[in-house]
Amino acid sequence: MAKRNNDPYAGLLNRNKQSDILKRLDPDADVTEEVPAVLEAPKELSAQTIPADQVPVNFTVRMPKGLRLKAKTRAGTLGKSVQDYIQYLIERDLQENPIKL
Amino acid sequence: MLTISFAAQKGGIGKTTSAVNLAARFASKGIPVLLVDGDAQGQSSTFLGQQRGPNLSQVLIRHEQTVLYDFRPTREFIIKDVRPNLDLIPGDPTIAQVEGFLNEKKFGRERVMKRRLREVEADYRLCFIDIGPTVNLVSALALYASDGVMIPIAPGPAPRDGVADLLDRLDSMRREVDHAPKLLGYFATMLDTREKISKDLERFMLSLPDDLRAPSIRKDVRVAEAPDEGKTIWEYTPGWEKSRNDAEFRGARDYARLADWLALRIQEVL
Repeated sequence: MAKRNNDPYAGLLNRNKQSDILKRLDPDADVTEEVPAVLEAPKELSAQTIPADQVPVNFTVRMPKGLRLKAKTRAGTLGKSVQDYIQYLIERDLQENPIKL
Repeated sequence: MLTISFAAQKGGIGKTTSAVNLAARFASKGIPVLLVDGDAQGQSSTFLGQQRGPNLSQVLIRHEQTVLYDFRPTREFIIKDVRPNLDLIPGDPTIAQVEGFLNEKKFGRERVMKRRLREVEADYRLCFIDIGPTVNLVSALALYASDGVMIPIAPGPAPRDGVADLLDRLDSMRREVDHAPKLLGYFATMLDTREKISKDLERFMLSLPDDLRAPSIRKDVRVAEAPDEGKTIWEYTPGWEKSRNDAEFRGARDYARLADWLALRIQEVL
């Protein structure tokens, strides 16, 4: 058993995977602005399954509402750190559940 | 998000009570918590004073007949802010129908709940699942979705037998699907040391490995009364932290000790 400290919950408050990932992708990421949005596929793709390694890099992505992804953005476009994070999410999810269009 | 389930193959031993009170305790410490009620009785809503609304069945089957861009995300089925930092996916009797839907799924059936919860993993630090006592597909999905499991044991021979059955089930999961939640610990519930069956349970608890033996919950009528008013034990017995009257506040004190233990155990094991 770990040695009991003054606040047993402190370690849980400090561990935040999302911030860790963002910081790793972009140490300068500004974590103050919320990016709302849902996955949108390019229109030219017809019914097919996209393997994880063929996900278009220029995928337009809107994150599901409430994901609370906070990162640096530029006016009208997603910042690089956000795109990288989204790419990470897409690849991870596609390994188990390929997207059917 | 770390997912902890409360499981025991015996009803009425304090799984829902423990899941609700512990979830509320962690939430009160500023930790975002999602409470998932995997029991067909769906009592967590009542315990937290909520009306029936969206439920776990909808979360589990809503993908099955839709396509990607038509689906409703898991977060649409979450009751937000039932308490500060605490959100809820209630259970309900239709959970039994989930089995029929998912039986038609050829692959990856056991992963369904894990995938649904993954959609909201960035929103929470902890997810507590109250697993129903019935051995069915939904309880298997919940165990597969869990990183750790806590096992309550009430006085009497049946709950102890239920522990053995549950451990067998976890072993079976490891063999069949290469994944099972880590056993975080056991805790006794409804202890009343005036009763012989409680003394037997205390002896049984002492036979368990030290690191798996969590603080016990003594019998306290206030723990049973709180849900009637839609309150957690912390809300039902305010002032428990300042009072020196252990007898009056033993339920709140015991759950606080258990929450402290679990917080450290989670950080140590998961």
